[in-house]
This record gives sequence, C-alpha cells and structure tokens, in this order.
Amino acid sequence: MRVLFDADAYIAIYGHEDSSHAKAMELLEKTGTSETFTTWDVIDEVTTKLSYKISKAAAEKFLFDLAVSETVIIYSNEDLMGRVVETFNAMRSKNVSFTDCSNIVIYEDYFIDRIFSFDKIYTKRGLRVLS
Amino acid sequence: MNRVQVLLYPETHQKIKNLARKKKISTSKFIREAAEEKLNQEYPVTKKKTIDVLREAGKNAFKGGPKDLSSNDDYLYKI
Repeated sequence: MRVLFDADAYIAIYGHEDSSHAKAMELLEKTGTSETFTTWDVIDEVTTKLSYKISKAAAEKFLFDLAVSETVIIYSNEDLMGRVVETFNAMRSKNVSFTDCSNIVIYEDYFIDRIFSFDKIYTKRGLRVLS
Repeated sequence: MNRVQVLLYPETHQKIKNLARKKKISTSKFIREAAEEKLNQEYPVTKKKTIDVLREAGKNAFKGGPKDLSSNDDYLYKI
C-alpha cells in the first residue's frame, strides 16, 4: 500500500495534547509496511505549526525523524505546480488550501492508495483516506 | 571524541595540512571529515521504517500546544 501523509496526521502524532493524537496513533498502525510519502508543502506546514505552537524542539525532532525514515519526500516542480494551480482554481470553496490541492494532484500522480489525513476535503473529492 | 594516534606518510601529511589550510579548518577536522566521508561510502545510512519512527515519536509526543493544532490552519499565520 502507498500512503501519503498530510500535515494534520503528523501534527496529531507529535502533539500530545492534540485532540486527534490517539486516533492518529491508532491509524498509524494500519500503515504497517506501506510505502510512505509526503510533500515539501506538508513539511513546511508541520514544521511551522509545531514551532509556533509547541516548541522549536518539536519541529526539529519532526525534521530529524523525517530524514531518518523511509518516507519519500515529493518536491514540487513547474509541471506539478501548474496542475495544482488548475485544481485550486477549480475549487468552489475558498476553504481548500493550496497544500490540499497539491496532495490531490500527487495522490493521482504517485498512485497513492490512502491519504493519512483527518481533512474531509479528500473524501469529498473521492480520495481514499486511511481509516 | 576519542584520541587516536595514526601514522601517515610525510607527503600525505603535508597534503592534508595544505588542504586543511586552504579550507581554513584544522588538520584534525579535515581527517575527521575524510574518515566520515569514507565511512558513509562503505556503510550508507540505512533508513528506518516510517511506522517505527513515528510510533516512537507518538510515544514521546510533545506536551503543550492547542488541542486543535492539527485541524486549525489559523495557527500557521497567527503566532
């Protein structure tokens, strides 16, 4: 199975007080031996939120863990960005983030089976989330 | 760090000193970096399973922060 990690999943894992912490740890077990992916945009979000609201040490720990894990980091490029912009512009809601749109495009490009996220936007768009 | 005594050929020693000076680092640092580089070639860093890394991170999760940190994107912009 190929699993794409969204920012909220990481934050829920690293933040003990987060209301989704227990659920995230439960779902993590379902990733098993999956190939895991995340994006540079997600890393940006997670690092910023952890640093702003928990601690710099938490953000640094997240980056360190990412570097030593098998998770594949997907970087943006001109072609990908063009399709993310198209997806973003096609959204009717103003509450869908650019990072969400990036994940939607990457989900298809990388033949992802499940996205690890609590965001309802993905199921609304027909993506399969880890559950 | 451990102190290690190593015997070098004079010309090797001279080359190391010259290069270290050029790089503005100590001879010791130059030799340490060269040793690390060689070790990384011989023993590439093996990545750990994502689930194992994150399971450990979750067990030692950080205290503090709001309960809705994962779901509220306002925190990205409002310090």
